[in-house]
Amino acid sequence: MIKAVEISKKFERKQVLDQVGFQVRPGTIYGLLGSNGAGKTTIMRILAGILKQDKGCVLIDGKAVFENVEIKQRIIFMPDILYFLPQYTVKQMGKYYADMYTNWDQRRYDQLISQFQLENKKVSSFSKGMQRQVAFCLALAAKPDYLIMDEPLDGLDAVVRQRIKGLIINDVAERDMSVLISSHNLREMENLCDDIGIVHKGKMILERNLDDMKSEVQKVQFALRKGQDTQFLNELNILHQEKRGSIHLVIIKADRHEVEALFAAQNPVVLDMLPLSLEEIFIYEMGGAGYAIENILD
Amino acid sequence: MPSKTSSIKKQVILYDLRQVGWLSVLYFLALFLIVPLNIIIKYSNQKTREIVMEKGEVFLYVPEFQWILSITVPVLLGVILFRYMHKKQASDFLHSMPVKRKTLLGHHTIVGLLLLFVPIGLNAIILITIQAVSGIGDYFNASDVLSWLGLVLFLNVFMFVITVFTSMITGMFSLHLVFTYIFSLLPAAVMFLGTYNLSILLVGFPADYYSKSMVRAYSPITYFYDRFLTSQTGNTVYSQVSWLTLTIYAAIAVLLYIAAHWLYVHRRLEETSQSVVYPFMRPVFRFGVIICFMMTGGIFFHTGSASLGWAIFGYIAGSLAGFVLVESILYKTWRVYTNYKSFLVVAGFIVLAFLATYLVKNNYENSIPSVEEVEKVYFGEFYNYEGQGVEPGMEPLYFTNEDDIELVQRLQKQIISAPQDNAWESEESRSTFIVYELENGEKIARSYFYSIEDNTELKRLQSEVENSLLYKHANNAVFNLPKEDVYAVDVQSNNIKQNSIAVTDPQLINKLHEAIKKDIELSSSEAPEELQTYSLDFLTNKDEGFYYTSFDDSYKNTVQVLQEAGIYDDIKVYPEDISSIELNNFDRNKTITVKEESDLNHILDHAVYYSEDEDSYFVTVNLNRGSSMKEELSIEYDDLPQSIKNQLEE
Ligand SMILES: Nc1ncnc2c1ncn2[C@@H]1O[C@H](COP(=O)(O)OP(=O)(O)O)[C@@H](O)[C@H]1O
Ligand SMILES: [Mg+2]
Repeated sequence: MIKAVEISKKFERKQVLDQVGFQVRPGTIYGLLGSNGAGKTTIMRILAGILKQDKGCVLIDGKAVFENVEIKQRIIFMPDILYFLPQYTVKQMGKYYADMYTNWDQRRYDQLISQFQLENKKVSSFSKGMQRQVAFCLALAAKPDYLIMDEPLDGLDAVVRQRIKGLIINDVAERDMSVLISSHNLREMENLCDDIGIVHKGKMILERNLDDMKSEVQKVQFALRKGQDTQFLNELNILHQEKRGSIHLVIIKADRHEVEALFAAQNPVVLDMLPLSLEEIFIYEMGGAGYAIENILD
Repeated sequence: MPSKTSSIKKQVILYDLRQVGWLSVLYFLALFLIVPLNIIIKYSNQKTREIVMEKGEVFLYVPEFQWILSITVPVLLGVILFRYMHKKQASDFLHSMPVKRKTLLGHHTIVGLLLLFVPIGLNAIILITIQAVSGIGDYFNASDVLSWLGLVLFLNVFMFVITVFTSMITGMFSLHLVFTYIFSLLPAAVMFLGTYNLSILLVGFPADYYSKSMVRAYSPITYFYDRFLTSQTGNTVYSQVSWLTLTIYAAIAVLLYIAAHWLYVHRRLEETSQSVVYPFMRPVFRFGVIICFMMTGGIFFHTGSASLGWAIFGYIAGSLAGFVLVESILYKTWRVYTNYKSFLVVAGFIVLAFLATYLVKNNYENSIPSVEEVEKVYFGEFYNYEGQGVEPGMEPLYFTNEDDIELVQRLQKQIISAPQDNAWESEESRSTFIVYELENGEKIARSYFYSIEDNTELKRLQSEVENSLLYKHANNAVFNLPKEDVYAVDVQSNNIKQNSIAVTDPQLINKLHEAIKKDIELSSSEAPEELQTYSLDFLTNKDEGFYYTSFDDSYKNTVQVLQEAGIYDDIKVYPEDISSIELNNFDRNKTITVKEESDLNHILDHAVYYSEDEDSYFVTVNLNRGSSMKEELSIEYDDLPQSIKNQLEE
């Protein structure tokens, strides 16, 4: 488990992080969201043991990370701007990681490399997207318990993105790997994260479990019989309501079963429980805190 | 959980070797060319073997190259090895790896040292091998090789450790190299600047005395330059090295490495790409740069003008320049005036320092020990002072007699009260170095540069000292002549006639020696020198001595000995010997030949040795017999006889 407790950090005189705290549970994916300059990268560099927080603590399995080799053995940090040793080929990078990480799985590495159809060339000669793939191969072959990735999905085409997401989810499920992933784009996190935290100006302003959120908010499309009115909706917490012709669309904050039961009792002509996108949940639920969220919806 | 992690990271070493291995290979080749190959080539050629090769110094034919390599290769090595600390991406990459910082430091250090040891060590092995198997062994032995190895390795390792240390201080690749050299020269530079500036501010402060001997030992770069170069002069490397200095250097290296370790562990990686990584060092850095620039400015403007006013201008200009530079390095912007407060703080310190100097000024300048306290006093030029490399034949002069000491003190007081700023323009200036050695073992040293022109009292005291027998004995090489080594005397005629006669008769040599000593003792320093001068050059079997003295017709005893030996007429020019005089103007496009006897006498009366005046004419005296010196004398236009002037007008 990754646990950040009230970490604060100043760069020169600027307060970059102000008492940020959150947890990444084993076997889950945590999405760190925030606009540029919010402090995501700084949080991750602290978690990876590169920087030292001024206040608070970062515990991984109950131990401090900074200069702790045993813990760092189990963490892979993938920075937003990738770095490979100059002049190193794909194979040589693999050897370097193999020397560093005791869990290194060479077979898996070879497998991943061929799966992504990467030639054994100098990594610097690859395109940005291919370099990203090399970084994923390295990260996954090291079999970390904790994978920290700073805006990893930027600049990848949809096919590759999907494949990588699949690999990550697979490792999370199979090995109970915990993932911390940052993004300034909410849509990227769709169908990936278990938890989401939103950072704004160095503060954690919101933390949510997505399953909870999804089960809390329902999107219902329905059409009533003639003469029936929507009176029955009044007892519900309606976040949003619109009507197109005879079709109503409502977003309700309530338990799914409760809503289903209520609508079923009305016996409507049309009744669809629609899936909600992350975006919609945030927009409708966050009314007030929207200022921060708008920025991450670009 | 049992740790499977090995603390030796092969891949870190491999990476380092890939980065800097080539440098080590080149280093080996360069050293091989300069040392073993050079020796083999010199040895295999019969001629160079006989002429160039000398026992014990075979390693140091081109010490400059070895020295340059020794202060650049380890620095380059360190700069490349620690480059990852100065690039954000690389720094994040390596520091996110499961390796402790101290492990990284250890790995890079070991690789660096290895890459220095191997090329140097291999060359030493090659040297020992050729020494053992070939005749070259006659010129050096294994212990010579070992002391060479020790000297070269020591400097290399020291420079490398400094580079490691400075890599921790800065976050910028480009500044790493600069900081390394600044840091290795800093103590010597500060010492030099400090003493020089005190000599501007305090009359009599002997900057040379404090700096010359010590300054060069304060920086590995200068210290080892001297060791490499002096090793050439015949002594083996060993005897040139001060073990105490080496021990101090070794201790400093250890401390620097420990400091580097501490700094690395405490380095805040977010400061990567800052010029100075540790915030607490920034004020020190700022202070140091401003002070050094200030002192340099002071020296610069003072040497140009020798006036205190200009020196103060230099201080102000220098400190401002230093401020602008240091702030723009620290904050990477030229808009430095926003930070004027930090300048004011430093300026405050500077003003305090000047105030302190001013407070001690009077006391320092006028403190002259009482005669009873003084055991002896050195009087003379600085370079002749003990331990400064006394010229052979010159004895450092010490007065021990109370009257003499008192005389020196009276002269010193007169110097202090005289104006100090006219010495450069003066034709009669003296630079005098005085060291009182007190009964209690203390030494008080003062150095003065002053003019005795237009100051009758000063002139009188100066000549009283210079006319003392002790002074003459100490400052004339002939008094310290190793008689048994003299095999000949060259008696020469200077500046009119070109003639020299070698005297080899030991009896005559002895007579000449006694006569010239007597004459020097009798002569007075103020006596106007005559136009015709001669010289005696005592040649000795030992090549170190230069026992030369010039004299003129006032040296009656010497002249008499020469007359009796029948040599005098060969060097003396009599009026009837002169056939004519040739005058050439400065541009040598106008020549006049003078034959009239009255004109000849007039010209000879007014001719001087040398004049820079563009109005003056070169004088060549043509002789009836014997060859004459060309253009050794000159005469100013105003001093020419009227008839010649008329001739020139035409
Ligand atoms: N090395 C640094 N020195 C000073 N300020 C920095 C440094 N790195 C980042 N910052 C500042 O810290 C804040 C947070 O940056 P970062 O963590 O990179 O945000 P994010 O990753 O969310 O875009 C930003 O305001 C940025 O300007
Ligand atoms: Mg970022």
